[in-house]
Amino acid sequence: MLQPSLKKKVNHITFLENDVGVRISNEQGMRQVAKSYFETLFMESNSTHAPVVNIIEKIVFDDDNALLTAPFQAYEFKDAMFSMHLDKCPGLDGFNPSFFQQFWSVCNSDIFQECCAWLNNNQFPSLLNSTNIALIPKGNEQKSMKDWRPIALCNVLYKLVAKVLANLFKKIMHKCISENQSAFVPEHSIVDNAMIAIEVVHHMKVSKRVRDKNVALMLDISKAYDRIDWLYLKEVMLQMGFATQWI
Amino acid sequence: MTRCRPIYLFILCAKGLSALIRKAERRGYLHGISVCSHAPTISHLLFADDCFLFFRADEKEAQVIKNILHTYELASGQAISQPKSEVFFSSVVPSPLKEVITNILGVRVVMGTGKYLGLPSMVGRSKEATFGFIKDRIWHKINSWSSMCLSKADREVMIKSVLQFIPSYIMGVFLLPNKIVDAIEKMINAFWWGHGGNMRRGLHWMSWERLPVHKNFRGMGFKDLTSFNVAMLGKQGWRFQTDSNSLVCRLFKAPLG
Repeated sequence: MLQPSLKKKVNHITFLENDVGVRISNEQGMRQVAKSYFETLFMESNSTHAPVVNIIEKIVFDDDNALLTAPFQAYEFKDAMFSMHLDKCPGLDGFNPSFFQQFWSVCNSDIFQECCAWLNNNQFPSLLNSTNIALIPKGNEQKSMKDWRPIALCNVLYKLVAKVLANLFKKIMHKCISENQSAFVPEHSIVDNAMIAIEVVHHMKVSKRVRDKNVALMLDISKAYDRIDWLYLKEVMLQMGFATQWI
Repeated sequence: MTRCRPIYLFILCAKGLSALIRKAERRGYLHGISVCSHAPTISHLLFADDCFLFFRADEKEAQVIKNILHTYELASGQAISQPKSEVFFSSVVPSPLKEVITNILGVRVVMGTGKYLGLPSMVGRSKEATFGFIKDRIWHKINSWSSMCLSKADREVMIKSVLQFIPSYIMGVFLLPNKIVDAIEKMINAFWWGHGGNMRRGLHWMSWERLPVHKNFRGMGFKDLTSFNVAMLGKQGWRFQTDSNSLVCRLFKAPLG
């Protein structure tokens, strides 16, 4: 933990290095650096999906789709809202989950109707979509934009919709995930994978048989979450058999 | 909808990688590892962005892996940073072959110091060296706070909800050696009785054995780390008993027949 004065110093961005490593310390320049960093990050790259997409098996069938595309129920929204933490940071509109939970009896039907309308028309009002982005320092020293982890603070309503969809998705999650991937599924546990890894590596180390020549390769996927090609994802989901409506 | 939940969607994304590896395996281009003859073969482990791939050490398979990764990168737009990836060979692989494979993959070799999911992926002879990092982490926490003149109650909260939870994740998988547990308890004890900065030890008014007792019985209710460790491991045992179909379970039971 840092003393208050020190903390302030860490939180203040005094300079940024741009992609060629030049230090920029005036405000205008720093803005430019940040903007171009995010632009290159989210730029759509030209990619070839076909070889990967074609071999994915179809695992989602009609009854699952019926589950996914069933009309939304009011209680789904209520569950999602009340599962949010009370004083999570509010988005641009400044209302936090505690506000909505307190006045749920007043605003529930309005929220429900409005959200359903958005979901059915596949259109979000652009204002709802806008987010505050907070930068969290990564590592001991912050030099370039890479050393900050961006966190998006969305509006509560936006999170609510996302949560409802995620809860629906969870129901069929177990079908989508092979046992080699243990994350984010209730019955799978993080330690499972770790234990397998430890056991296998241990085996590699102690085994003296000549035919046990093996290699373990640990990969580092940089910026795993923010760098997904949406088009690729769409094709994967189609191939897996999700209804187009749901995508 | 595609903007809503990147984490869930990421799993779908990694599905592609998984499918590619499976296909290569089915056609016999790749061979995973099985720890003994009945054990399930393991070729890849994915946990969010942490990937572990296993294959046989020869040139052909390395080439196949490289091609797979390349195809996946092209398709998904995700970048795999090669200098940061690590490779580890089993002990019987001769060093010229090692060099050839590292060259093909363009990665660096580690001697088993790497961590997977925050756990040491290899436990050597010296358990103390492997788990020493826990001690350091607690020491850092204590040091950064000890200069701040915390009150008795502050220190209680600090111990109960911060310090004693640092090793809990690792305790879920490993039985920590007594030496490490002792050292941790000593540090916590000194922090509890000491006052002010500079790690002054202060007078220990009560033996450490009496502190983990429940408050109703005149203790402080701290955790007894050794028992906590055993309890956490017991949970793993329970999972093996109840869920005998999981991959871990099959892997661990295989050598026992």
